[in-house]
Amino acid sequence: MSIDQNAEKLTPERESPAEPRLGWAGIRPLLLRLHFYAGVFIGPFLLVAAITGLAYVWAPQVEQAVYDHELHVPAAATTVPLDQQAAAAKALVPDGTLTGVRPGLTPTDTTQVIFNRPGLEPSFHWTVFVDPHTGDVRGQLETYGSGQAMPVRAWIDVLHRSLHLGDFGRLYSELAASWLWVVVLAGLALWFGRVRRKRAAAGRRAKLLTWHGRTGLVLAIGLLFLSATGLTWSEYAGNSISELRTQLDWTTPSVSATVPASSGRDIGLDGAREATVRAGLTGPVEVRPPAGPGKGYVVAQTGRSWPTRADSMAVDPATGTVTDTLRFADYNLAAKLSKWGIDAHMGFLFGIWNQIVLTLLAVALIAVIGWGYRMWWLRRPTRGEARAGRPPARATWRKIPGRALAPALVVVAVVGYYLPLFGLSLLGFLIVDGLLEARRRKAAA
Amino acid sequence: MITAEGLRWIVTVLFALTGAFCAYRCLQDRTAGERTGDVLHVVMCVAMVAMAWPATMSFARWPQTVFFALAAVWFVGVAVTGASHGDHGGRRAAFYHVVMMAAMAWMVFVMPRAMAGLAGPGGTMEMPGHAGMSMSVSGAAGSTPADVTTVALVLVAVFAVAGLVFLARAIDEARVSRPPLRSLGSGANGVMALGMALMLLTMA
Repeated sequence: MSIDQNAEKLTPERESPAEPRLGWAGIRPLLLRLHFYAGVFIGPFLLVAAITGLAYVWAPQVEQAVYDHELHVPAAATTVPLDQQAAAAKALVPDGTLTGVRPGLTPTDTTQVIFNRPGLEPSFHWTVFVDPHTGDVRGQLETYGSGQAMPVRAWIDVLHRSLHLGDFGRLYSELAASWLWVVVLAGLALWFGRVRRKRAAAGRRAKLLTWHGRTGLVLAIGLLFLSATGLTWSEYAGNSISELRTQLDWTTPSVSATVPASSGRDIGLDGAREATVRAGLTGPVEVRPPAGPGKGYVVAQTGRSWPTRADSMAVDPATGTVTDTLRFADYNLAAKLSKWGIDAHMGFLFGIWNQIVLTLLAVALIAVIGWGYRMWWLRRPTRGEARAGRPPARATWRKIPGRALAPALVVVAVVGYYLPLFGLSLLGFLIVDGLLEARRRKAAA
Repeated sequence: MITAEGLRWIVTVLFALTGAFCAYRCLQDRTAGERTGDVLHVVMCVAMVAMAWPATMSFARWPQTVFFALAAVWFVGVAVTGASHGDHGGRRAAFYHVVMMAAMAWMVFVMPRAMAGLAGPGGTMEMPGHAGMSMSVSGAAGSTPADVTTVALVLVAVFAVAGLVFLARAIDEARVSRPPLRSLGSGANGVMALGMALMLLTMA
């Protein structure tokens, strides 16, 4: 991850030999330019993502404290049936449709009764928190996502994802995720190229470069992981990934809730839960009522920490028979990786250690970006009108033979198609850069 | 036909640009043979654009098949006689254009069979653990006849390699000097070859 101090020595006027040879000397200027412009371009977006991500990582602890009254109750020996708790909640939300009930995992946790309600934004729910020992309602809040984020965490989540600007705001995080891996890979190549040439650090800027590069090297794997998982959430690249997974039959499977026509008898939420407990489905679960005639209860594990417990079962409401079981172990590899990737990205998979690693990643990323901008600042001319450091020279492609550049261009085009914001922003840059170069040549002529 | 709308537009723009370039080149000071080659390229670009869209993918199927078969014969003549082929390249390039025009004739001819099983049911994909992650996905591809798939994949490889060779040549030509028409011609050939590979890939 280096912007080499000799970048300014590359001039656009310098024509390469007629037959450039494929080697580090030819590739390095292009990588340098790529790393510089991409870094300068997405630096602010990455900073926002790192800061908001940092806030999100510790939001679960914050919400446990802020919503202590809703989430926790004194332990007691008796427990009110789930159906009774759901009825108490439903009385408070007459316009809501019950979508699920999450019994507390420990005697000090409330039961979360989840409703869909008119007027709620997509992915938001209305949740009533019920004391499982008394059936009293402890509170009701708008919650978010399948992780049942409380309002504070939901606010930070939306901030991290879209800056509260709707679909338009999601472009910022998609741009950051789309370019992050490019910056990281180009930076890695530059760093290893620099190490190979055994260049010693001297001077303030060179020391910053060393810090920038070494820290980036350590971060690389983590940043590539965040980039990849972030892209699965993005609007356009995420669609591409979904399409690809569908075409390759790598989608996340779901349990079949279809059951034989019932006699009208209903075992209720408690009956469904007990049936699945008997079948071995333990831990944190969500019990979902039948979605309509011919449908059964679905009881799904909601655990997000390692080892992943995401099994689900369908239960016939008339007989209490488990009609279908879907084990996480039977997921295809892509679906498993998707689940693990999402949980790790959000800081849930490995508990506190996951949170610490993400925190270190975010803080180090902020530092790397800061050092990058600082190096640019230090390279600025101290005389004349120029106020910023001179960027790496244009026409770096001339140093690379066509037999190497042509396949690279095709690969970039394919990647640009699947990551549209990457492709469009690169195309826009090339057009503007070409126009500026044409203007410069015209002025020089 | 290309089912993904974004890709369809990309193919349309690429072939519209290369077709416009060939039309422009045709109007320059060139021999009759070179102009014939340019006209055939323009028609090919128009046909590729039509082929990308559902409404026109099988437009004038038989006339197109015959036309491109004759175009292939024309390039056989060019290759055999060594007639002037201008910016398209030498005899080897003429043979490549024989393959290209023959591939066009084949694509137009088999398009209805290749596309017969494309329309499938759509659905949604739940992304666990995060809101806003339920995504609609388009229908999966049906089965394409095995013979079509085999031929298409072979041609994909041929045109992908040809496209890279032309692009590499365009880059090298643009580097050493500035003959816009020549290097742009190689670039246009490269784009057309890669566009053909893309279209064939969607048929496979």
